[in-house]
Amino acid sequence: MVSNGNRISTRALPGVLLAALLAVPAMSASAEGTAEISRGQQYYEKICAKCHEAGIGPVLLGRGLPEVIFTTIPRSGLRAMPAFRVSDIDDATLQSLAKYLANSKPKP
Amino acid sequence: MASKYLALPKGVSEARFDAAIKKFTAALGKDNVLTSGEHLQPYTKVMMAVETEKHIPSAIVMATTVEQVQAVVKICNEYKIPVWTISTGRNFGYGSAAPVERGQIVLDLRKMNKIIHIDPELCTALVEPGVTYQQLYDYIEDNKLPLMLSFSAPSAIAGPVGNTMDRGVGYTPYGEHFLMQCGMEVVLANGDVYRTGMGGVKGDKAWQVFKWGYGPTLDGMFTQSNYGICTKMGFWLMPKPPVFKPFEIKFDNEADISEIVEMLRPLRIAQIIPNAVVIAGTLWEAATCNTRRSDYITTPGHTPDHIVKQIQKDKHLGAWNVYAALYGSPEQVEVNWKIVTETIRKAGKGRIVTQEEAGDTQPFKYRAQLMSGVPNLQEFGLYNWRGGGGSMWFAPVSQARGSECDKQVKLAKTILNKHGLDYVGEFIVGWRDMHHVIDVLFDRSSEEETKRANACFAELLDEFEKEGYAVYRVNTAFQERVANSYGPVKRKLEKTIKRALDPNGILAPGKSGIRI
Ligand SMILES: Cc1cc2nc3c(=O)[nH]c(=O)nc-3n(C[C@H](O)[C@H](O)[C@H](O)COP(=O)(O)OP(=O)(O)OC[C@H]3O[C@@H](n4cnc5c(N)ncnc54)[C@H](O)[C@@H]3O)c2cc1C
Repeated sequence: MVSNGNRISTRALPGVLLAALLAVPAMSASAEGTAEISRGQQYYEKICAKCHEAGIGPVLLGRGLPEVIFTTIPRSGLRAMPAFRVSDIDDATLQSLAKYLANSKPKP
Repeated sequence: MASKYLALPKGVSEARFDAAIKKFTAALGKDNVLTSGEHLQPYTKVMMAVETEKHIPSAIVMATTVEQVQAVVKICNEYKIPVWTISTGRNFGYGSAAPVERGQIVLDLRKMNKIIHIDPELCTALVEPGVTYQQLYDYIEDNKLPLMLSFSAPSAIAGPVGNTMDRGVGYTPYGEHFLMQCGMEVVLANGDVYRTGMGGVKGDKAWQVFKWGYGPTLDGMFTQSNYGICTKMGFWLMPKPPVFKPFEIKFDNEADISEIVEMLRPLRIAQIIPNAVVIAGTLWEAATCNTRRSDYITTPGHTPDHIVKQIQKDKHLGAWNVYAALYGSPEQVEVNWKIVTETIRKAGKGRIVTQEEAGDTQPFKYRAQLMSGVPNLQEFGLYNWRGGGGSMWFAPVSQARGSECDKQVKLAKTILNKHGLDYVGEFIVGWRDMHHVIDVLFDRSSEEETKRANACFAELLDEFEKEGYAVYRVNTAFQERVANSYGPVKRKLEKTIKRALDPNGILAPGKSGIRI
């Protein structure tokens, strides 16, 4: 049996994006958030924040990181970060979460 | 020739697998049958010290009804496709969502997630496999039910069915989860839907309150096994006590461990302390209050004792840190608190920390949350200690006796250090037993360290076995090995049952080393 070209690796993520994620938070560059709470934001607050706002995973809010980071890394997981399956978070919610995070402001 | 699948089940041709996939798709709909690399990727993320390739599934099928699970089993029999079932699929350090063997399909029941009922008077629940602890917690909060959950540390994303099927543990008085399970619905390999306990009685209402039913009680045989697919599980919930009083006792010296167990066991057995007593070592404590190894040392290998001592001092930790709690009416808690504090006072060592003293600091905060059923993910801090995402739990069981502890800690630490890894461990005093839970942490991005971790784990199993110890559960890379620790007669019996119930060997072959 031979695996096809569709191989699995967190290394598939562009190095520059990875570097951006792991870097120190940017201070500005966030767009205005929407007033209503999106599904993605709800998911972030309920699940992601339990690590990413607890000093365990890197801070994600207000980093000005591109949406693609938030749609790819959750699916592959990264080091100790678990992978999130489509049964955990569907594509639409993940997209909404990505949009929320990409446009978020840093926490005061 | 390149296959369009990432992997194929053992002995199944691509054409045959194509035909099976077609049938799965007809039964479940195309969105519920996944074969692309992109969709399979999250199912391949493991933390074990083996190659990812060894645990890659061939496809994912998702069912939301019992009938669909039956349909999956039927197709698997027809095409001889091995199927690995997950409920919430968060079995971190034990295999995550990946199958025990490359090429098995994964039946993901995460979307089968109804809370069928919660009875606030009888304090029972009946749920489907995809229900998470967070979902239950939200339900209980939203409906203001006077109930308390017990769960494993990855509470926000894990769930009661998967955790209980693997005989996992929690931290409240209901923390031995399989003990609190009551009634199970199982799809067997022949497609029958079997209900344990009172579940087979027409018109019965006692399924979630009386475990044993009539005749043989079979619930246990479906856990940590591959004899059926659980589609519903009942369990008991603890009434929320009027008073919850968590506390910590810090002990300064490593040598105190024996005395701690001797001192606390009588309180635990008599239910004065009604929950599992956790006795966490320095590095476990340090990691869960966001201490990283690289803050102290950057050379590879194990962390020298003097640095561990320095961390203990800097972070105001004990060499051993005991966590337990009291539950009940104010009067009950007051009496039991007197007994606990008196016991510590008489021992002349150990510093008690109360919630009032600890405030919002970690790791006290997450321990208190675990002991009172509030979901969090703070224990993932363990993975920042060394970094690199490698983890395998080594959890030998023993009697709850002080004399066991010293011996086990020394043995484990010697082996871990020999392989350049650290002792990051805790004892969980269940009732009369102890699980000595050691997180074998390693940098999985380093091939060399991964190899070392694998050798280390194998040696831990071997050396502990020589001393009469075996683990209560293990990751999917070592299930065959651990099955041998429990002796040939057990293995023979398990095979006999397997052949009788699942003659094609389609259900999770290799789980706990069981196959036809
Ligand atoms: C930091 C950290 C702390 C942890 N602490 C704890 C802890 O305190 N206690 C603990 O127990 N574990 C702990 N774990 C291990 C693990 O993450 C939990 O046990 C978790 O609850 C298991 O995942 P799950 O609940 O999603 O079950 P799943 O992954 O869904 O299931 C576990 C296994 O049970 C079997 N199974 C699942 N569903 C079915 C079914 N429907 N029918 C038949 N068989 C089935 C499968 O073999 C599956 O692999 C910890 C892990 C981490 C990373």
